[in-house]
Amino acid sequence: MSLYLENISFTYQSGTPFEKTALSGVSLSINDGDFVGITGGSGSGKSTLLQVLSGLLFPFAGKLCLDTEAINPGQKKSLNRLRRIVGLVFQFPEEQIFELQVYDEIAFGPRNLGFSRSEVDERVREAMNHMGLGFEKYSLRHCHSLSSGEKRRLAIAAILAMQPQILLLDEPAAGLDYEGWQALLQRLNYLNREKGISIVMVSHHYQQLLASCPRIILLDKGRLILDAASSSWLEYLDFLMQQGWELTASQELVYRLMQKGWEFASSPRSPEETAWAVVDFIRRSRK
Amino acid sequence: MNTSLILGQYIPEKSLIHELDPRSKIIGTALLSLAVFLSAFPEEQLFILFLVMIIILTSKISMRIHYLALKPFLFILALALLIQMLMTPGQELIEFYFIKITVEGLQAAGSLGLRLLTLLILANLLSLTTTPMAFTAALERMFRPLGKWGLPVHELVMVMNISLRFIPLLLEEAERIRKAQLGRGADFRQGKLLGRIRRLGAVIIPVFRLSIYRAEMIATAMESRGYCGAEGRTQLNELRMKAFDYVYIILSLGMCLLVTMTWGRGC
Repeated sequence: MSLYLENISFTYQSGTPFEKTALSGVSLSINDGDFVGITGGSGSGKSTLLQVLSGLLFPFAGKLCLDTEAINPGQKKSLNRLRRIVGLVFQFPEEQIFELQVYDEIAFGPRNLGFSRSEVDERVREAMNHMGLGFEKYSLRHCHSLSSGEKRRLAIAAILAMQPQILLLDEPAAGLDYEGWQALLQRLNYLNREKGISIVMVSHHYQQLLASCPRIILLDKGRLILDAASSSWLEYLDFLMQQGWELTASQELVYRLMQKGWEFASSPRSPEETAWAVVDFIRRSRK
Repeated sequence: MNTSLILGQYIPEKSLIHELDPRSKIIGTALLSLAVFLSAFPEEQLFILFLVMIIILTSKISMRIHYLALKPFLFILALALLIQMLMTPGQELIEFYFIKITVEGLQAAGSLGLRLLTLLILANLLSLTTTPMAFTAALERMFRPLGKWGLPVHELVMVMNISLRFIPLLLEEAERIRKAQLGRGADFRQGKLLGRIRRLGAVIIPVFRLSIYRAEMIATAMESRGYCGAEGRTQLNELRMKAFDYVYIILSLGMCLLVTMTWGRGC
């Protein structure tokens, strides 16, 4: 299932003195099995783009297509189809939790869809399993007794129980400690690889996205300026510098070392990879 | 919600009306509203509307925004006019089955329409040109004498101030959570009543929890900055009346007196 955006534009409070253009002329596609990270400064249109992708906000101009079918704002049917296929995890999704027990919270979605008791049960088990929340251990616990990382995984499990094919996440790491984020990232990788769910996440944290998403999209003032593989950032380093993009500390290091004549075979995506690349270069040059 | 004007929105502009002391704006609006209520003749009502239109023009806010601010009330206005038109007994003009339109009904509806329209424009003008902060500061100053009788004016105004400040945020939050639950298949418009109420809980419970949490944080933040009520508290911007403030109040008062003189002679 692929999602296409063509020349999407969006303006908030249009026609009032508070008019603000959030997106202008954005085109992109989300394909099967993609793992995409969208980043940009504050006010670059990241969250708006995510809401457009999920069919919650309707673009003022441009086209939104699911495979070959154009999604029409007037047609409730196609909009519902889009919402069934795309699951959106808002920023701080644990704020939506309202049931007392973990089981009921996750069952809310499938129950709304009108599934039978056994089907609901099956979906809840599967969603909990996907998010690493053991059914026996967690299903009867009170939601507010969970840790913040667990709460976030619970909120995401509640979305997964809808069985979306594309999962959108707005700042999934916000407010989580390192361990909480690593645990979540591991589950997302599992969903992407084993279950074939496309993952799209938005974050202002460029380093984090670079290290965790194979594909990176950069937004600047509502415009899409780059859509490329994160494992080849050395190839478009010049472009990033040209755009005045703020590099991560390890990218900066690699850039400076290259100016001194160092050679890197691949583009290191995280500080750890950078360290290994440096070690590797020193070893090779000694021989 | 994002594409419309929020009720009670302030539009910054540099105009005579904006520069008015909020107290004189409140008093002026109250007096003009009184004049609208007391006016008995259509000529008077038209004259007040004309005056209000002039005030609107000096506010430099575009007519489109005045219209947007008025829009949510138009339906209720139309309904009130319709009821007034159909329910007033008198000399029949048109009869159509059970619907009777009378001369008196038409007159009453016209008069009511003019008055309500003027009142709505006045109320909108006040909120469009006054920041909530200025508004509550004016209320606090105006009600200060009541403090002598033990009324906690400052505290009440602070409560009002904080509530006003957080209405947009609360709406935004409720909207975000509504959207989130929509994504989990919660349809708030369809289904049986009981199910709909249950699903509404999916929005109400999180919003309540968030606001209680926020209230606690604000209280702590205020206390940690040494806030302890009205005692010994001064204002950064003291309210000061200027010449034009008095002109505005006298003008409104004059309007009120003019209308009072003819009161009782009309219907």
